[in-house]
Amino acid sequence: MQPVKSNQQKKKTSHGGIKYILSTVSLISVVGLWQHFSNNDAIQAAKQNKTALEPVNNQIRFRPLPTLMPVQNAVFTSPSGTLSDQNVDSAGLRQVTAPTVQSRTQAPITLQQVIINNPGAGSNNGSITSTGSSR
Amino acid sequence: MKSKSFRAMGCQMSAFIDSPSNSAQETLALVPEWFEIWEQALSRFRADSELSTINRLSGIPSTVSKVFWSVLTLAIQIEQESIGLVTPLVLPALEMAGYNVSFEQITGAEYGTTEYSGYPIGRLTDLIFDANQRIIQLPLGSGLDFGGVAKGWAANQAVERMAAFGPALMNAGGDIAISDYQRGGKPWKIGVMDPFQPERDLGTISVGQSGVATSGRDFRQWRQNGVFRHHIIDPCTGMPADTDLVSVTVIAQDVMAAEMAAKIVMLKGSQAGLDWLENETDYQAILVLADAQILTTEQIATTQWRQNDNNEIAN
Repeated sequence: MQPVKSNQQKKKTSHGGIKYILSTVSLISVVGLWQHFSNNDAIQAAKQNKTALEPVNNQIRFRPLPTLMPVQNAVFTSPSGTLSDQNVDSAGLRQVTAPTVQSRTQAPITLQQVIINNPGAGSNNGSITSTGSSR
Repeated sequence: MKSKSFRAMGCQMSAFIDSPSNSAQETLALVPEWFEIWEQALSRFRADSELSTINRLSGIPSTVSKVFWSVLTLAIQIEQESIGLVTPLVLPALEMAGYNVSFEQITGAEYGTTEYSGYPIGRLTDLIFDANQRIIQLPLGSGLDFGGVAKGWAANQAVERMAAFGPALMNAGGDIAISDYQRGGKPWKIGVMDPFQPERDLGTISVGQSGVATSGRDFRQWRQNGVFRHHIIDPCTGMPADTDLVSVTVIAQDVMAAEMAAKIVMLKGSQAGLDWLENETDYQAILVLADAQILTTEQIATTQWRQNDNNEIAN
């Protein structure tokens, strides 16, 4: 005579199966997500390498940061002359900004600069023609 | 105003006729052809030109064309008036100094095996000729370079032809011939080039019937054996002139006289040049020194000389 399994025993067996399934799914998820994120990092690194080969834009992009530096007694000079005493507070500190890239200003080449000298033609002073050593 | 610009004789040329007529336009179209004919006779840079042929035949009697004869007689006259300072017999000296090809082809910084220290310059009085048959015989070993004389002569010839159609101006590489005032008595306003900044003018003159010429060492210069040379040969030394002047502009009654006077002053230098001009009242002049100082003759105002700003001036 075979022993008859009670309902409780049946439930125990089914619970063990679910646990097995859940642990398997969990393991797969962890491994899958790990793969996914690690792959993203590789793609990102590859992108950065590609960008590094492109010409570098030397312009400083960050905004000037206000800082404080002590004012010295020596005369400050700049390419355009002596620096003024503006932005000096009561503590003797001058408010300065972070260095920024100075845009190079070059006078545009005008037509007059590229005209090849031509003694035959008059200039812009109203003359009809010009005299000079033969050219 | 009708005008025509072109290149000839190694220089920029401009012709103007103050006339609305179509005939003036048609005449201007012919000017480059005239210069081509004259260049073929007078150029030393064309191997097949008449001048090159005559130079090769120095020591041998040769018949020359009317054009050649006309320029030669003018050169003889100028040589006599300038007491030998302006002579076409400078060719061998010019070539020895390195100007043996057209200026555009001078490579510069050339180093030769020998140092050039001058070449004896003859006189056209040594020339044997027969005026009736236009036969000449150059002294053996000599050669002619008409240079500025040819340009002045050509400018004068052109303006005489153009003047039949209205007031005319011919600018042959800085040598300017003017037939008359423009219509309505308006003078021709002419810029005087700054030798240090050729893209700008030192000032302007306003003139009627006259000739204007500039002699200068600012452009046609090169290096030979590390030494700067230029094309204005001093017949006294056979070398490029040692002068304190960079350029001289002369206003005279005709362009050929202006060309001669400019060369004389250039060779004499500023002080002796002004002394010479004092006695030559037909000439007005603007002298530019190597230190950028500008000197003028006392009567320069007769040419309505107007100097641009930022230039030094002294009388």
